[in-house]
Amino acid sequence: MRGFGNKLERLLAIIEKEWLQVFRDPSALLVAFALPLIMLFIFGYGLSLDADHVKVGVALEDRSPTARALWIAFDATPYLSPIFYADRGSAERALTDGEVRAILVASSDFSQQFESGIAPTVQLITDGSETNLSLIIEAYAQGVYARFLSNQGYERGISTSNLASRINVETQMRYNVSRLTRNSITPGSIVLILAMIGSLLTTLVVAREWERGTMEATLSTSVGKFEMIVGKLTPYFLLGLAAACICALVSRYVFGVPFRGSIFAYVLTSSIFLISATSQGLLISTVCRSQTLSSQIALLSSFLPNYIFSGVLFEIDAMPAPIRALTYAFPARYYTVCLQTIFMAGDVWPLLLRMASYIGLIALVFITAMIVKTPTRLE
Amino acid sequence: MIRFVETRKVFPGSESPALDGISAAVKPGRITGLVGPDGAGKTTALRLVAGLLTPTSGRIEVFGYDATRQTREVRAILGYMPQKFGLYEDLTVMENLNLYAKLRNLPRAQRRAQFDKLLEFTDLGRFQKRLARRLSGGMKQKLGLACALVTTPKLLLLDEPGVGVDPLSRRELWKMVRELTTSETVVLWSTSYLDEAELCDETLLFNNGKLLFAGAPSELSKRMKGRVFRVRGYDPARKRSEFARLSQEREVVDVLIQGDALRVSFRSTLSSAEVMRRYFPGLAVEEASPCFEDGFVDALVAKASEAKSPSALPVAQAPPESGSGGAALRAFDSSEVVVEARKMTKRFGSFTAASEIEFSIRRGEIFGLLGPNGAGKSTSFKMLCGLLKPTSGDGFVAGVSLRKSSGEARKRLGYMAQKFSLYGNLSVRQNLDFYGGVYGLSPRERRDGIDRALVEYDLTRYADERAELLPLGYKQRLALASATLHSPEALFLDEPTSGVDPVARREFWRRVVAFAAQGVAILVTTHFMDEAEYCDQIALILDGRKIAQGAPDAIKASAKRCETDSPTLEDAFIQLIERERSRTR
Amino acid sequence: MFFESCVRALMLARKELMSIATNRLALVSLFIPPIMQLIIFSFAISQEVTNARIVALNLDVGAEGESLMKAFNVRPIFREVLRVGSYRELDEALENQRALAGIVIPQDFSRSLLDPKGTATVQITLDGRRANASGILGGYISQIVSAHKVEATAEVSTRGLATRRWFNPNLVARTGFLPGLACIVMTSVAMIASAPLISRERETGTFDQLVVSPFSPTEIVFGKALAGLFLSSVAAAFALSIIVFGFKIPLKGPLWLFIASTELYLTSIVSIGLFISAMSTTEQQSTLGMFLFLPPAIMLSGFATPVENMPQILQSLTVINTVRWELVVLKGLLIRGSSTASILPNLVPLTAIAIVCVTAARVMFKRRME
Repeated sequence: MRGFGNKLERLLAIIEKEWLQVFRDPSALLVAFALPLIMLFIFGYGLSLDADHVKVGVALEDRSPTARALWIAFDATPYLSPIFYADRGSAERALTDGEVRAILVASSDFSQQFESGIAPTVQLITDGSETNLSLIIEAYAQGVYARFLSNQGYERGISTSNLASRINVETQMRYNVSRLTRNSITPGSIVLILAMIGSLLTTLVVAREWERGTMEATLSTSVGKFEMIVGKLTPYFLLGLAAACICALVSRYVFGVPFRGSIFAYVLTSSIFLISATSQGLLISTVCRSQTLSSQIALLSSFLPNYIFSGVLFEIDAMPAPIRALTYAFPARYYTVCLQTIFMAGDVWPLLLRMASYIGLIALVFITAMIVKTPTRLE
Repeated sequence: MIRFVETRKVFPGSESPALDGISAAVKPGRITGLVGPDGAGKTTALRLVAGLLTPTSGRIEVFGYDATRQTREVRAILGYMPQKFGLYEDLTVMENLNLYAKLRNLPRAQRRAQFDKLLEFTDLGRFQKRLARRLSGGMKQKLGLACALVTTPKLLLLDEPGVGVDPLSRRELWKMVRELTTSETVVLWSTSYLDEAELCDETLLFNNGKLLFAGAPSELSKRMKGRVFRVRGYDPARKRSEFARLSQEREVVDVLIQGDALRVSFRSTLSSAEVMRRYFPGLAVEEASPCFEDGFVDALVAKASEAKSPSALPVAQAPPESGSGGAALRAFDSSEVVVEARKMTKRFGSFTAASEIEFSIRRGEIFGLLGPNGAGKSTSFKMLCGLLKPTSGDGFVAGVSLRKSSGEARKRLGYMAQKFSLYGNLSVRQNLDFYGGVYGLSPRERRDGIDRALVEYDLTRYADERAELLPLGYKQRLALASATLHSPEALFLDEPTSGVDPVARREFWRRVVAFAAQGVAILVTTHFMDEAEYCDQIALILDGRKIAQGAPDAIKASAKRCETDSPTLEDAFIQLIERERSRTR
Repeated sequence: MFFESCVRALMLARKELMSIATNRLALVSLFIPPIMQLIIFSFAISQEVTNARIVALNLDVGAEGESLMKAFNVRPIFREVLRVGSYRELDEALENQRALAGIVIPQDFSRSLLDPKGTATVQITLDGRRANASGILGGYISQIVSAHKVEATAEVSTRGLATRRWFNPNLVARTGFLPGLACIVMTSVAMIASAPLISRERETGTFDQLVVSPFSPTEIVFGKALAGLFLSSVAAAFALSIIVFGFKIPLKGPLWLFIASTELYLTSIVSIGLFISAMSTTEQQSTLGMFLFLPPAIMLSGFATPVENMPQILQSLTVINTVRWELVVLKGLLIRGSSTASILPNLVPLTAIAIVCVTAARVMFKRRME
């Protein structure tokens, strides 16, 4: 019992020390609180897959009333901002030079052809280098064009398939009736934020002690692996949790993302994820023993992989099989599912528990590696 | 008590063992010094005792426990102060104490009393809330010791606690250790300061991983009886050439400059009359009482000539014929002032770090800047070499103002920093090449200069080795070689021998003296009083002001309390400081 | 005088390069991970929806429902159609993300279709948690459903909108993202190579030695910038060769413009890195500065989501984002074949940022000396 009391005292002493150090070093607080807010702001406001005011060049070689009506139709939609070009050549140049994302060409015989109804009369050329945007523009343009046709008195529109179908489709988007991509991106951004700050905060802590020579002094006391690992993880875990709570509040009250699950589920899954993220950072730090190297590894291993493999902006299902297999090793992938579910769907426990147990498994691997790698001696 | 039994430690990747089958016993109630040059195995021995390393073979018993297998038990009775003091710089004094008290499980009830006692001893009571980062070197060292002593351990291990700390603080440290330990405590104190070793009750002398001597320090000095002499009456101009000549003399083990005199020790016992007849006709020779250092150097030299290992030989090695350019002694005008400080003042906010510092250094002169940590010595030094801009006043190097054309002035000086500012991942040759290029040497001049430096500094076999892998003494040589490749008119040395062992220090000073002989003006800061003896002039800085300046012997004389008193430079240093402090208070 | 300055700056640059070159670990960790990331991510990146799992509840008693189910055997869009027997199971499958979309074929499906005038209704439920993916999938499903049982008798309008895609006709995501990935690779290397350059010398204590030698602050900043520029140019050469030769995306613009604009871009990033470095007192701080700069700069560059989708405030903020301008240049030269005249204006902000940051680094550097 006495031994355990001593252990506990040492553990608390290390936690207290790390905690004090965090508050003495403004840079750690900057990482814990400023970085999440900046990133959340960028994600919430800056990253949107819904296009808005996309510049589309409209080459009107024909000046007939019909052509003017076409211009007006495109000018009326908030999604597209048409820019006028007098001829096809200049519009094409604008597309090549990246000034517009697509061009709409009505050739000089536009109205004549249109009236006769022989051939497709308007051409849309999109910039294929912006793949996602291309698809979105095509869809918008089709819609605008259909409206234009109906205004011109041609009830039957554009899509040959829609034309004669006898099957109606009723589409409903569950959990997200207004179909806002922001609602799914914002929870996803919390994943990236916590992955980054979780590993960043802890990447330097052990390497720093080696470089400053305090590790030797600590090792010479009775401190064991347990106190060393838990003592170093706890403060940064708590900071991460605080950041997670701030993120949730900002998402809910600033970005208006619904929060349908329970706080308990949020804290639980976030805790497990943070344990994995902080122990990943601590492991890097323990193995590297050098601040430069471990920060390089942390930067390379936390931002881009989580950005791409979390499934927030890029579709995991569409990746080639070997890379899809690789994504299973990233806890971010599971945590994204958890957060999107908690925010938008509610506490779907079977799903949450399954995902949380995957994250837990990965965390366990990190922790085991750390137990092996944490020194009790200098060699 | 501690018993080393055939302890051997070989680090992976290294051929020679760090500790080579050591057997020794350390008794409680006394301070045992681990003494030896760098890389002798002192730190390795301490770390083995603390269970921080495991021996390759053999074992260590600590109070009956096996240091390797029963690490937990050993650490429970251990107080350990590693080389950089092991303090958390961003915690306050009190927080550091508290942390170590808890990590060592000092019962809560005893904490208050123990802290009070330690704070009183360390005189840190006033600074409880100060961050460790903001403490001076001496205060950090005391705090480090307090943290190690927080539980009154039965085993106290101190790894070079005196490095980079002024003599005043070192004296206080000794007092603390003496008074805060009991007759049960085993104290192992590693040091490369031999005056410190002399204060120990017992010493273990290491070299190259081997135990050369174990016993009371006086035993080692006793061996030197009748072999050490002081020679006076030199014409100041000849003193240095004599010093260079004697260093090469076969029968001479060691020679030191002590103010106006030379101190020479011989391989065998001689009478002073014989010494005078054979070596110093016409000069005053008196037998000096041998000290630990004489015995130490003798032991190392004897061992080295027996083993014929080149690395331990530097003492017997020839000093450089010339430091740079390969030119023979040049004639120079020794009245010409090369470096000059004119009323240099530096203020940081409301705090005046240096106030109206004034002095000048002539060609061929060695000028020492002394003072306790944080007294303004390094501020003055930094202003003179262009690292800090003075708030008022100006400094001149070779007549060029540092204020007006700092770049031009900097071209004419060579600078060697405390930490031997080398690029660790560049090779010796690449380091030299870089500094040569920076100072505008042509590729040809660089090539020749580097080739010469490699030979002169005996760095040839390390030429393509990464600088960080060199032994400390060689790093120091490389730093000096880099700083002088461009034949500067002035050489600035900032605690150039901090942490370097006595053998390497001797060799270093021989080179410095050779530079002075060629007409280079040298400014040096140091904590070693024996090094201050090499200087022609020393200035003592305290609280940002110069409180004394003069030749070492004159400074010593000024500190005399009575006719018969013959204070050492260290005594004089401490006395002058205390006198000054009592006057200002 | 000027010549001497140049020599000193060159000496410093050479020293930085040698110290990287002699350290194999540093060399490897500087180049290999970013290049690996380029290759892996170029395969990983895709915003299209394929291999999706859907869940279907067929309540239809007739044969038409079954025939519609068969229509979903479209690879590679669908990987698996999970059949369930009740609404509850369908909901559960959706809830637990075993499927991205659910389809319900009503009981009267066949009967409605048997009636020549009748229309049937199919319900699609999408998982709004993945709004973008499920939205796109919903589009595919409704197309398939609508196309089912189309009778070609109706009048087919020729007044349609003919769509074409230039530069990347099949909308291969990789083609669109490769310039961005290459840009990220060279940006990371430029940043990692330059951000510690000054702060590391401070930490190892060689800074004083440098200041005491005849270097002027300008020479130090230029020498360091030169080293950073060289290292990142090597990375850029690797990354861009992989794109042009490995992924066969031909360079459409003039080579000189391609090289000049890349170097200018790298200069701007290196100067930002040096500015961060000059501001920092420790290596840790410069690392942190790197972290505060890189992710936002990449996210706001138009790499994953277009700049024009951002709110006006952020769009104006991206004016100072060098990554954004480089992305326009790279896409223009590599994919679209933009004209020189249209590329040049993008280089103005790059130049301005480089000049401002180098000057700021020099000022910070000088201030830290006092």
